[in-house]
Amino acid sequence: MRKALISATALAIAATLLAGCTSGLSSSGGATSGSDDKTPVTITMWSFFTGREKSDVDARLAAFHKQYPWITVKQVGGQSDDTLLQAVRGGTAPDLALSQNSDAVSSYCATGTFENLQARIDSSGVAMNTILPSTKNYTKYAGKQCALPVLADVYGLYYNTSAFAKAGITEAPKTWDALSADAKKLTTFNPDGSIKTAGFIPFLDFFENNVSTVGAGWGLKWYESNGKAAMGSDPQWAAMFDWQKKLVDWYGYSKLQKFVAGLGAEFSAQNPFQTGKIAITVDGEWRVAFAADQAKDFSYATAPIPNVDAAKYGSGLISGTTVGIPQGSKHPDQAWLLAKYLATDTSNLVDLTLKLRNVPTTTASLKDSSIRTDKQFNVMLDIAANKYTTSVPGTPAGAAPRELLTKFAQSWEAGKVSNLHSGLAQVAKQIDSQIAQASAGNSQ
Amino acid sequence: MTSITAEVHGRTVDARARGAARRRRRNRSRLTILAFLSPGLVGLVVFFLYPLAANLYYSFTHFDLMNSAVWAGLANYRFMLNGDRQIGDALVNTLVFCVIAVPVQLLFALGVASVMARVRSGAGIYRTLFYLPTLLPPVAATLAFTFVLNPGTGPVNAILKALGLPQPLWFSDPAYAKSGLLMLTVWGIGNTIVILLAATLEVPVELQEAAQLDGANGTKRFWHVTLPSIAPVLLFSTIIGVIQSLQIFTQPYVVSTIVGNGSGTTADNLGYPQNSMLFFTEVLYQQGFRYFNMGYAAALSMVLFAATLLVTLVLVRATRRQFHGDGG
Repeated sequence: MRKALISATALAIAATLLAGCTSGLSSSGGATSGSDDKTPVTITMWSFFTGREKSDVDARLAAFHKQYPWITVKQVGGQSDDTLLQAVRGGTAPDLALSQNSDAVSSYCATGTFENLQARIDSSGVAMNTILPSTKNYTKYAGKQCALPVLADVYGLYYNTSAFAKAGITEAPKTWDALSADAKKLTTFNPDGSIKTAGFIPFLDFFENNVSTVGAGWGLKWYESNGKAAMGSDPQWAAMFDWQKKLVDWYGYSKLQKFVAGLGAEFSAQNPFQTGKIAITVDGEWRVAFAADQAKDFSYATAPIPNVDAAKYGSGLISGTTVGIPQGSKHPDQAWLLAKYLATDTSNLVDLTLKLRNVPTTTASLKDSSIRTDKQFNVMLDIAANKYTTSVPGTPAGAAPRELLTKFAQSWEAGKVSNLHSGLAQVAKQIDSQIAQASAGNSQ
Repeated sequence: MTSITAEVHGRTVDARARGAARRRRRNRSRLTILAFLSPGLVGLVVFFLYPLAANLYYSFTHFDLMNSAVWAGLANYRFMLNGDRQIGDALVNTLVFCVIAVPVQLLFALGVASVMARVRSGAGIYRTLFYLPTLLPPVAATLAFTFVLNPGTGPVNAILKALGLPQPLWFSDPAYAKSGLLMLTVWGIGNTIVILLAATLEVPVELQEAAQLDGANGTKRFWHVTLPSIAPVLLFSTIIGVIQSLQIFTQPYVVSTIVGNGSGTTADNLGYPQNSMLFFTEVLYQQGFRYFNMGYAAALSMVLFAATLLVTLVLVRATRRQFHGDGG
């Protein structure tokens, strides 16, 4: 009897402890003081910005404070999505957060990491039709608008004009075959056969070359209407990988690997495009600012990435910074005022565009003539405004689909995949499993 | 008759009293032992048994740390077997690395320890030199190796080129990536070297001398005297080596991040190149701390725990007879 009592007590304690750990976080945010409450308050905003960029954003936060004098914003820079998630899950979330991982927002919507903003949008009358429609893929999931875009990244083709002139190439390639032909003309070899300068690095895991940025020019379908991954059923995926492999084989995989291993870092002054080691590269709009800062005498031009559909040439991939109110925000009403300001205030977006050299995300700010200050940057603005510009559809599995495709690309370009079609079908299956696994706990 | 009964009764009472006193003493002694053990027991319950039980429970749930855990039965284990295609690569890589790395590390450590045990002068310098890599943080050591083995700019390939030898892509080539990792872990095996050196120096000199008088040469003395004497320490080092190999994380994580073509995000490169550096713990990290599939990560950690326990038990049982003669 005594033993049974002890066992029952132990079980009860264990069950209580386990239940305590499974309760999760409270679904409600912080104290709702109402949007009319003008009690002075300091709110915290986490961002990934550091150094000069953080100072530029701080200047905008000072402008926000002038407009809303009772709200002081403390920006904590250098925060990644990983640290944000850990803080939210640890109950120490900031009041507002800027995320640079647009792949992840759909999982933030699905899990409740970011609050659903729809009610706040409706009550404050934010005109969602002024926000670029191509950003919806990464700010909204399953009917929940849980983030707003604040500046975007668009990807285009950067090419070395001196190298083009030397090779007798007069314009940027508009088709993928033209890009291959130009890359071959622009590549030079050392006497021992190793690559001296590469026309284009066709790896799909090199700097900003990846399945998302390059795939935007291949008219890829990511998911079927039933939600299943379409890599096995949409022939464009195989076409893209086939094109890529042919160019890898032309260089020789080992030669290319060895060349890539010796290149400078992407965001350093030794960036191989800026130092002339690579003649054509896919990169984000920020490269304009980096090149101006790190390689003043370097001559280059920008263009949209090639497209398999001539009618869609001029478009590309858009992704970018989002702002959301994390679960556990202590001042969600004040945080919303700041989120709305950052995402929709034209003067704010124009100023940030000029300073950070990212692309604005409302139609009004994109049309503002004051941001068209640089010929190369204007190309990026036009890509953002193009009606065919797309973003990668989000899933509850966050970045997992892209990561699984990248791993597949690494094996494929190394010649380790014997059958492309069955390989892609397997990746699709794997993505479906990962999404199903990630969705399983989000039914509540 | 009455007096006999009384005497017997008296003896019984005395015996009972003595028994009760003995029991009291025993109980007091047990309580004292328990009191001394209690800090350790509390630590065991709070920091091992409870987390283990909680982890076991979560392995049967879908849990993202944000919402309450949802009971999922065996779904996570089914996903491990049927849905997660990365786990096969991770399992093979982990086992292959364990099977190769543990013997290589032990042989290297034993060889160095045996040589150092014979060194007469400058022993301290050699011991320091071999132990120094252990003091280096694993991340820093791994970074240094990625630079040294960089196929384009590293000194190793420059030397190989000067000698007219083939220059592997090292951490960029799945055929060589594990070799690079093996070199890195062998380079940092100073702890085991010190333990084996201490054990070797503890082997009774009279045993060595007796064997020498019996005509045993150096190899025979090592095989029949030194090795049996240090066998328990070797077993300890083997078990620690197996556990460390099964749980290897930092070095392949850093290598894949640094070498993976600089494609920006860590997760894209986890296991780079071509999943050859994808180890069990990395899948666990990816699922738990990047995708926040905590339930599945808990299931993975239960499998890792069970595998480690099983290997340890097998090793202990297999070697028990060696140490205790008849298996006692």
